[in-house]
Amino acid sequence: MFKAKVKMEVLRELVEVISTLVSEVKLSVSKDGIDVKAVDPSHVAMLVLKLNRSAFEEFTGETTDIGLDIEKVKEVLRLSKPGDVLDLQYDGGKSKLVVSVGKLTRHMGVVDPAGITDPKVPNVSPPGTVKVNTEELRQGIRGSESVSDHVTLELTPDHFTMHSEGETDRVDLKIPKDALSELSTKESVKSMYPLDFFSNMIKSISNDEVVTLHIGNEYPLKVEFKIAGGKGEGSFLLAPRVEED
Amino acid sequence: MGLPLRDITHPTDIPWSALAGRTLAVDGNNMLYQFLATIRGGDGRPFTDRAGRVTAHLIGLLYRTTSWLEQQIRPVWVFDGRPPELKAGTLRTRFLAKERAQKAWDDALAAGDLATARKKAAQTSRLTQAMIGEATQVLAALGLPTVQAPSEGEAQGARMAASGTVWASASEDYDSLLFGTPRLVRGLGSRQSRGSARAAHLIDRERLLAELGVSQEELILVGLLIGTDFNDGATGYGPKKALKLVQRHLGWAETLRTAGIEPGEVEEAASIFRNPPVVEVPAPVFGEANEAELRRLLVTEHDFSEERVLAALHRVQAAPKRKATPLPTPGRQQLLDAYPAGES
Repeated sequence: MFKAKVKMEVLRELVEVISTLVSEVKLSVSKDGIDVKAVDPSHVAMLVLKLNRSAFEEFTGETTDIGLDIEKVKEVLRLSKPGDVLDLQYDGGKSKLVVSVGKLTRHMGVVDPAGITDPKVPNVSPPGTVKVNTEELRQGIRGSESVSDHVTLELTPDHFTMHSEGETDRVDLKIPKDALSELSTKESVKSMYPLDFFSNMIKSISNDEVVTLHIGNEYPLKVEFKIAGGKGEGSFLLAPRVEED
Repeated sequence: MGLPLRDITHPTDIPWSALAGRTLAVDGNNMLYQFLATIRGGDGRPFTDRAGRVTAHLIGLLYRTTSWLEQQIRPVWVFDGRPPELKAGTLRTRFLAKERAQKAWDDALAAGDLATARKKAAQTSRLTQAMIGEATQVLAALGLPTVQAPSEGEAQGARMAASGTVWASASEDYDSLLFGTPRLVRGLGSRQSRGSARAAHLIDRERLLAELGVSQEELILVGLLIGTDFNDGATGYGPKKALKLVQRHLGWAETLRTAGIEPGEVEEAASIFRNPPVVEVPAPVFGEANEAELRRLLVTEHDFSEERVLAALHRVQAAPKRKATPLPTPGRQQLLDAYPAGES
């Protein structure tokens, strides 16, 4: 059993982050809130997210899994306007998720959660950490998108750089340590990542002003962010491109 | 017949779409020869017109070139000039091989062995100056530029790619790399691949040298050890053994002597790769196809189906204009599965 009232903005944030990787998702409801784990079909990127019960206006949950078609949730969001509170109810089993906004109610068919991949989250802990302003990262991404389809993130004890190289052009975003709220790495680390995933991840984090990047050498990237004004947190993992053997 | 470097090069597979908008120096003799070898009937006889004149080279030329143009690939066909004198031995060997293949083809046909007949027939292919002349006329009617090389076409193509006149050389032979082309595209003449998934193979010379850990001069050494069109090579040396020896970096003379070659014997061959006769050509100009001329050359002269010729031409004219897509990213995308799971 799951009953909750949630602000449209909070649900929209959640949906944006999830839809970066998958079109169907399993929400793991418990009395403490909602957990999400999702891996994109190619197994290059993953999302682990927790939305606390405090992120909701009202929340009553027993342990249950709900399989959702993200596109349907987006359809309901398009029917709502900023400031709206959506009412969600789910009885379990094969019944529908009942979503109400104002006078409108949608009985939403759910997806069998057993058919949704339950990803095994790899245990990675990249050695370098940097907190970067999301807006600056977005600017770097926009610059990179015009020259290449991959991006290299590099962290030295002095600065963070993000660069992309095409056949003829190169774009660098370089931020010195003193312009960053946190930079910690003992040595220089560098990895290359597919730009489309990185771009979609950063763009989906709409309301956190600063994201934390954990970077290693030819190692998965971990992007940590907050959602729902700090009442939830998530992390993306992104596998690197490595040199051919 | 080209260096057997396949085992030591690591080409990147690229879709034809990645070549859109790019200009390529096409090794014309190499490409036409492939058409002559492969476009044949069931008994191995090449396709001909009603008068019995071979048309396989023109069939291949028309359909292959128009399928490139449909993808916005811009070919500059480069044809061989006078072969270097050192190639005489190679040419003589090829001539004799064709004679033997002709005999084997006749025998196979007499014995009713069509599979062998077809295989042997392919080996008898002869590309004549008249055929090249016809091909040049058809290319002009398609609005495409051609270049007459003073000597080896691959050397000319490599020069054009190195100077930026074209983006890459397109040939099935690896010799272009020894001539110094910065990029070699293989597989463009292949009939294996069809539809939008057509893929070619790209070898970036700088990247190849870095991977092999050899210099351009050492790459030429590898070629000379294996044997090129201009020298016989060292006895018992294939690509891998040659590369292994060159990677010892013994120096030019010592490397050759270790393989039993006196440096003086291959000096002229080496100089053909280093400084081949080439001409500087202006930036290629691509014009419109001349439908009437194409009809005259192919339909009137050589009995091509008018319907099919015009259909090929119209496919080019109707093809959407597109920009080159970026080249594939170097390296290999890892999956998260490569890392052990910490929690379920």
